[in-house]
Amino acid sequence: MTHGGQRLSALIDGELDGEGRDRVLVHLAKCEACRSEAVALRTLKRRMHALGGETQADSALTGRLMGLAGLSAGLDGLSAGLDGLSAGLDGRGGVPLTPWSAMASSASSASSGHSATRAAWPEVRPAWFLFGGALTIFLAGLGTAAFMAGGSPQQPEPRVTPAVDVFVLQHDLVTGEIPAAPPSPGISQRSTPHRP
Amino acid sequence: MIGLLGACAVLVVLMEAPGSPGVPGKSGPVVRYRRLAPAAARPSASTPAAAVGARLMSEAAAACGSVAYRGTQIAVWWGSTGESASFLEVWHRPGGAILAQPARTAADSSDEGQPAAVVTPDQDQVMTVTAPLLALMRANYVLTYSGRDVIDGRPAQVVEVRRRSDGGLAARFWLDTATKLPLQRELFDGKSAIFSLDDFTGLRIGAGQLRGMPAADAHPWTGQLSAVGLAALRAAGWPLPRGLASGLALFQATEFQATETSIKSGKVVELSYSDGLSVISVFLQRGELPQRLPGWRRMTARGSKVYATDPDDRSLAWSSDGFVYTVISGAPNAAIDQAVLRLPHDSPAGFWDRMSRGFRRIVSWVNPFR
Repeated sequence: MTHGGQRLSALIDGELDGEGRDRVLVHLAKCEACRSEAVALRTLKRRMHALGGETQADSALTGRLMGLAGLSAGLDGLSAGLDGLSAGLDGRGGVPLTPWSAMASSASSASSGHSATRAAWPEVRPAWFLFGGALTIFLAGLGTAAFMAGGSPQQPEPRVTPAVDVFVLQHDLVTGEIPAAPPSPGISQRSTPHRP
Repeated sequence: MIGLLGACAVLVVLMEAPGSPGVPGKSGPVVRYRRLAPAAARPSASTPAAAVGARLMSEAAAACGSVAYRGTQIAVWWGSTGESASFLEVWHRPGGAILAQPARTAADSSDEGQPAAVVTPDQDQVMTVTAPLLALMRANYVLTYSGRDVIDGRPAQVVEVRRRSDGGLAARFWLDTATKLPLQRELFDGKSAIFSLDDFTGLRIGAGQLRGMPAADAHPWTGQLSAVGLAALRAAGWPLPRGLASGLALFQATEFQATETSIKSGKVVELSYSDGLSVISVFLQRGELPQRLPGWRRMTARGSKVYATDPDDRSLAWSSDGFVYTVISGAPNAAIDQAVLRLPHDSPAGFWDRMSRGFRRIVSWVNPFR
């Protein structure tokens, strides 16, 4: 029997049946070189298995973390909103405006095992962002305008000198008194004795 | 002429009479009231005297509107600068207002050619009782019959007006027993010190006494403001308070569109406040006072900068936030103080004051009812 060659790989992978497996094992008992090669192949396969297991664990951990942060849900909603907005604006459907959509899709698929957690978070639509932004801008503008308008107590109002004679007359009229026409010129208006 | 000379003699007696025991520091004709029973410290509106007093004042209000009369009214005023007095010839035709004309006195006769005396606003407010004022009076005071007296040879019934809050004496009326017309009135300030005395002399009753009655020289403003009109003005930014001080409720508001040159700048709104005894008139105009006000003096009393035209500070004016306020009153100084303090004044604005003023201005700009 020649050296094992590909049969060694098959043995290590567990692909040989009884007769073929016995022949390879008999050969390994006689051939030092093939034994060394078999040991090397088994070591390599173990390490490859070890590498494959860590990758799956990392993916699961990443999914849990994204689910806890709600990031995947937010990104999903944002992606859907942007997709809809893109469709409305461009007349095309389902074309993401930004790379966020692709990122969100991948994050969503990675956290597919946590759909219940995502459903507990409300969807934040862009209309709310737009409304909130517009309201903030409006209030800030109104406050600035009020601050500016209220700055000077002196409004550009007309200068007014109170017509006190007219007002005194009206005040007397309110109390029930009407002045009589003067009977003749030259009569003094009032007397104010004892005024210091 | 004889009546006027008699009035002058009465005035001299008033000025030189010793002070009343109940009115320290004031001189006046209250000597003859000594025999009146001292009033209770706390009034009660349910006593027989209060019922009689309220009935007498109601009859006085009716008489003031239905009795024809003429006479001379002497008004004495104790202001911050001393005593002053005025004489008015008055006529009253049933259903109309009281026609008043400054009376010519003996002192005036001796001062022919001299300039007229200083006009002091509202010291010569005619002595009358109207239904709206009586309603306010009964709301704020207790009216109590307190005895009989004789005024100018006419039997009179005396009614005391006391504050419901503390029982302090606010006024006394002497009502003609025959006609219920007021013959004399005393007004007291918040410390029950007299500040105004009005006295009728030479009262003549009947329509036949109105011969020679002069014509009216002025007419009241006709633009009466309803509650809706007041609300519209308030919505347009006009600061129209419903009351100024305790007991001074808004009882009349008159809007006047100015047509004369002196007030051609725009609309004038007059608000009249009263507690039933005194009237405070507030005139509002859009605008601001000029830098100089000839004939006015600036004062900083009452915590704010205001202008006054008369020595007793009974005509005050200031501007604030785009409005000019003019206050004219015959009320006690303390009541005027409260009224002035309740009205807006400019002050150094903080952040929130500035924001508030700015918001008000913006609202007034966009208000379509402005």
